[in-house]
Amino acid sequence: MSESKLQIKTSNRGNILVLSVAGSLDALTASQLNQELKARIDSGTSKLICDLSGLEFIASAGVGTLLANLRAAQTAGGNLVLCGLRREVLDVFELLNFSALFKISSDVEAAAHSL
Amino acid sequence: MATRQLEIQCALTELEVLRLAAREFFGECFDNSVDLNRLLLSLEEVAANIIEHGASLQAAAPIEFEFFKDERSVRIVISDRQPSFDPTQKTQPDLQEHAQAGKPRGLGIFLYTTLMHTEYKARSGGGNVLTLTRSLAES
Repeated sequence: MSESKLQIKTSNRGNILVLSVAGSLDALTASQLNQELKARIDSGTSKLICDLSGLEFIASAGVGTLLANLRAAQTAGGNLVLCGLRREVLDVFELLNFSALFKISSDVEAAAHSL
Repeated sequence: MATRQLEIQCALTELEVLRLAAREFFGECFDNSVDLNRLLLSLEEVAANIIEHGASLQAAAPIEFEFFKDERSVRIVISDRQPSFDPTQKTQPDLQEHAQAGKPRGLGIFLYTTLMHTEYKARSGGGNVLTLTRSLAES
């Protein structure tokens, strides 16, 4: 399996922002996702979905970035929901006992219903 | 026992190179992708910590890796020339407190010391040598 650096595509679903995150979320690329999420939350978007179905690898820096922005979204009155996690990616959240902190859905449709 | 040696520059852009090399070398050792990913994750966390702490040093030296595998275990030896740091002596984080505060960093050592048997020794002439081992019977 080849790995690639991070790609982020955004789309809107009503008042929900969907970020499709693909590639590798590691100590190099976590800041890229953090900038994108922080800018959106700071500008008033508090309901967010991160579609991780294209994410091949996540390190603790990536989990930490999602956690910090989950808290920011909740503070702003919204939430950050994850969906489409591969087994390897979900395993990292479970190793840290963080999987229960996030709403984790199978796909974008289910994630949008949970927000 | 099969071996491979690898050296990377002290830069975060090298992490992907490291993961690809490790995936290629260790891929056949594991029956499932989760166990392979746990090894790649451990390696990533060690390397990222060394690189991030080394980034403040002028002309940080390259980091050396040795991969070993046989039918019973996998082993990675990581050698650097940075100031002495023994991660096995570091207090583990309180995960609940970490989660509540939404801290973005500080979990790498917890991950690799949980997933891999970790041994530290000071490097002759200055620096650190970290050895990560995992029995394949655990997979």
